[in-house]
Amino acid sequence: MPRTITIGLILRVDPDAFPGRGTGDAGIAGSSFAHLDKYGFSTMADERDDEREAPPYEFSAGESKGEDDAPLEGGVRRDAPEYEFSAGESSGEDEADEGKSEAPATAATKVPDAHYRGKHKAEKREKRERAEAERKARAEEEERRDRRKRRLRMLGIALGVAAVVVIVAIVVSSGGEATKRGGEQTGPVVGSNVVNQRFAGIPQSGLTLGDPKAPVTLVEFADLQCPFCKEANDNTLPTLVDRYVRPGRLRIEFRNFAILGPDSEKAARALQGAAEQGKAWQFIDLWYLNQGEEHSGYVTDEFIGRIARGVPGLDAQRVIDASNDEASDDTLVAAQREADQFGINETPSYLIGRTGEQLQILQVQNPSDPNLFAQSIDRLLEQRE
Amino acid sequence: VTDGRLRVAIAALAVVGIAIATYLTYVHYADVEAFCVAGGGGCERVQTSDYAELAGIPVAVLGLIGYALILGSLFVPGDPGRLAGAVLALSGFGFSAYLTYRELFTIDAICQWCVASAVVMTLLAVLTVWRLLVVDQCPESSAQ
Repeated sequence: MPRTITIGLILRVDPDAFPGRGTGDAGIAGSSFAHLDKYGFSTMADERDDEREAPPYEFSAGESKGEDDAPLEGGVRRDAPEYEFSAGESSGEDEADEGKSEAPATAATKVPDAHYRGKHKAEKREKRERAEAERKARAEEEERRDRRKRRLRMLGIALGVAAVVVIVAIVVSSGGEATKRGGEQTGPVVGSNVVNQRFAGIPQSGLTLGDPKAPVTLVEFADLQCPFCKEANDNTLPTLVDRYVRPGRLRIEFRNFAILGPDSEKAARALQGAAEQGKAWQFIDLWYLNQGEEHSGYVTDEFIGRIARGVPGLDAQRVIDASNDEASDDTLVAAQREADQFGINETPSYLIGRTGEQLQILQVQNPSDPNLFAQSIDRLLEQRE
Repeated sequence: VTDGRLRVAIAALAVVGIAIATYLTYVHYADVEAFCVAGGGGCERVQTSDYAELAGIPVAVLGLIGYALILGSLFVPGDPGRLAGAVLALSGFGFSAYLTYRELFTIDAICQWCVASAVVMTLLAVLTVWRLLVVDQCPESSAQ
């Protein structure tokens, strides 16, 4: 810690040696101090000892002229040379550190100056820190904004690309809308393996599926061109076959009830041709899976050939020939006669009862719900037991 | 939620999606009936419908590829990986929505496996977008 030395020394200044005296800074500043020793004491003082009684101007050590104090700039006296502080003076920091000054009377003029400098420095530091903090906050806010912008841009890109992908996929998917309705004239049919597995090992006779001795018989009046028949077949047949037909508890008879026009009759005759070969139910199931739009003209020799070729062991040409033989309509006529007997005029319609007994019309609210059929079948099975 | 946890959740969902898509791909190529919890021919009907294919490629295969790519995007560090994951999941979500619409209003049948896949893809879309927008990604975690 630097020590402050205060010397209560009175300097007598020769007015001749300080030409600028009385006008403020001129006589104190600059080269006029050449006659001062390294402590700031005038070497002239000793030489002029005899003039002590009437000094033109006296400055106490540590004292300065009021006019000198006034022009401050940034806490530092403007023209003050480095060695301006004479004995009794010290830098403001020293005095501030010590917290006291022994300089008689003159301290009052110097301590506030030092204090002001310290305070000013602290303010400057605080101001600098505040500016720094604000700059950081601004930078962070800017970075946050940039990040948010970047993320939103990325989301926009993601949504845009995804939208393009989905639209292209939908267009491609819908591009085949005409063939979505089924009834394709070329290529393999869908579901061939499923259908052939479903009926494998189950006895068939003509249009009848299942064990002839099964306790319950279900009769279905359907048209191969009818879309509701397709729905009912697709949704209920797999369950009925697995749950009742395969275990020998149910037999199903198909009635070739072709009521929707010439195409329906052609399809019905084709089915008759498949029935003659013992593959009627594979043909029915595969037809429904690949059914085309009603009255669209899809029931052609080509389409019938495709379905027939999807059933292993079925002679496709024989089926096609049967479809074109209008005289061969035994099953159609029989179905119509039976429908008239029961007052059936729509498809799909059903009869159900114990095998060998009188069958009853089965009213099914939703033919696509296999459970509704199961309830009736279970009831009949319980009666038997 | 950290980026790491989101990545784990996305990876788990992608694996579930891959399992579903793999099964449906098998059902398609083996031409066998899909197992349906409630019975009925809904799955079969959807699987054998023309909507089961897109430009000759089974939808199940497209789903399998999509899930695998989403899983793979987790290993791509930084924004490109996050962006790729979001694009894939959003595309999958959009197409799943379209297929579900077709199931309900065109095919008139619902395939439980397809619904499960649609749900998984929807969750993936939410998580990948979340990861893209909200969660700060540490460079270290992206390099894992």
